[in-house]
Amino acid sequence: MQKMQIAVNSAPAMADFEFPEYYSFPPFFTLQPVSATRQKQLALWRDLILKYHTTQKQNTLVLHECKLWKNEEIGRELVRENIRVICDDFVENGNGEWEDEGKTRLRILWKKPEELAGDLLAWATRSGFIGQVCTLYELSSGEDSEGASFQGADEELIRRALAILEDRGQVAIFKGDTSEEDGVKFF
Amino acid sequence: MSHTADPSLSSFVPHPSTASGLPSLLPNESLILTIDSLEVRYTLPSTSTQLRTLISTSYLTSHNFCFTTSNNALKAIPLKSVVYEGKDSLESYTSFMGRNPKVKFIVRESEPVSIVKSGQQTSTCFLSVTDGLIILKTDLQKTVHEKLDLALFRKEWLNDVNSSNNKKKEEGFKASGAGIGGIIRRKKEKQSTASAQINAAFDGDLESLMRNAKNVLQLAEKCKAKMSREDCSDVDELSKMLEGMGVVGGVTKEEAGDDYMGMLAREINDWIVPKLKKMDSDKGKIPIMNITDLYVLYNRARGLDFISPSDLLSSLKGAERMFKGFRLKDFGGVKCVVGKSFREEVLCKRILDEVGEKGRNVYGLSKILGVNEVMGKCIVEELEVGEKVCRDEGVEGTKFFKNEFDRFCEEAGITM
Repeated sequence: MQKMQIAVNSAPAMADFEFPEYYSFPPFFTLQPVSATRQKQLALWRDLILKYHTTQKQNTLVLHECKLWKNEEIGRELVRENIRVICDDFVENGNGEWEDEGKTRLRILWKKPEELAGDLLAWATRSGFIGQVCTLYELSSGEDSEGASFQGADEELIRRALAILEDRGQVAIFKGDTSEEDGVKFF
Repeated sequence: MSHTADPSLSSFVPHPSTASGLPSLLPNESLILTIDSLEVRYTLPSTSTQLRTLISTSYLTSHNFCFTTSNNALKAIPLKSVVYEGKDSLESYTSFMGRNPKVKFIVRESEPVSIVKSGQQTSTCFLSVTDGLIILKTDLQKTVHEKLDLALFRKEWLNDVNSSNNKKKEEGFKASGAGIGGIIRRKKEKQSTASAQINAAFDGDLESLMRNAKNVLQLAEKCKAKMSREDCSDVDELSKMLEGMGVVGGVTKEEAGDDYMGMLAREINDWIVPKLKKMDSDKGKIPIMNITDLYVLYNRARGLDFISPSDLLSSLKGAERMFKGFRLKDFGGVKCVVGKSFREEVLCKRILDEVGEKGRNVYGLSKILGVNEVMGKCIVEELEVGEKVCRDEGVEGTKFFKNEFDRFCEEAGITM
């Protein structure tokens, strides 16, 4: 099976995404009835959703718009019930959260807050930000954070990661005029 | 009647047996009766007063009377060599043996074996070999008489003889067959043979038809009477009548008594093992049969006296344990019989080779494996549970693929 490289979004800013081999495997689009196989299949779906959204710098998955559910190259598509099962599993595993009660929009947590907290501290150490203050905006969209795992991440996710570091005494958070102007000092 | 002096049991014809010890049968031959744990007593000519005892299992087939000797070899008295001599001989024999009734086989060198029969209500019957004597002690003596009578009356072995005689013999050159005269003579011979055959066929068929029609009518009348009276005593008579019409079933509870399950296990073993072997030798097929198919086919082979599903299962378990000619196996909850050579790994590899990259549906796989679709589905689902294959449900129906999810997880760095 050959790896596919297709542009799944027509927006010009979107980079092409290299789909893994299993995306061209027809049984990947049928929810497997055997529990052990299904667990592996769901893990692969979680992996795909995360990789796709982090690569595309997308923080939200809109269920009825997501192009991952259909692979036209092999003529396979997930049925609505199975999309729900995959998204529920995604949330249960801490990789995402429902943004609305109707469960139509899913916030993608690129990384779990604990993991992101570690990444933030490592970045601050590496970039000489220990003892320095930077804004939340700089963390998510600044030049200094370019290439970091949290660049472009959902603001809420970054706040949770910083809250973990604050509890540990590794950062102090200062209130700014707007939420983006909130400051962070690394210790 | 001059009797030769053949001194021992070796005077009987050795008879081939099946893997489970039953007599091997010819294509037209059928097993009519099995007499278990029979006490056979016989005397040798040199010591005509001394009886020797042998515990034996005996079998009456449509062609032979067979019994096992002490070293488990099968011996047979061909029924074609037996002549029923009537009551006169019986009386003389009765006076010799006191009041004991008997069935006597007399072996002669050039003449056929003769049987003298008498006695209706006793528990002992006699077989005399050469100048010696064989006594069969059995409660089934009346049944033995009746079945033997019937087999001698029906003369099934004649069908074999007729079929072999019908084969065209190669003719050598004769001076009388040469020239125009020879051609005309051969033409006339052919015509007369053909007309004789047509006459015989019509006469024979008509006679047979009338006889069977009469039997069928009698049977219908009996059934009618039975239904109106609800009297179960007709059952024996009914089965006798059916046997008279050539309808001979397999082992029955009535005939086999306490050893019914054992005999049934033997019969099933002898029936199924060759079938599984044949499947195994057929290219591409796997030696496997599900129990429901087996039940239907086996009962169909029996013709009458159908066995129950539970009897089938018990006897299959017995046969598996005793003869080890096949194994019982569960496939996706469906019980199957598989041949001795069956290996699950081989089957799995074969299926994985067949599904390839494009996948295959159950129908295609069943066709390749030489099994029916139900069986094919059970096999594939069993492999699916074992994570060997996985399914793809699309517009073309359900297809099965090699299960690659493990490899994909490994490549993606996902640990489960």
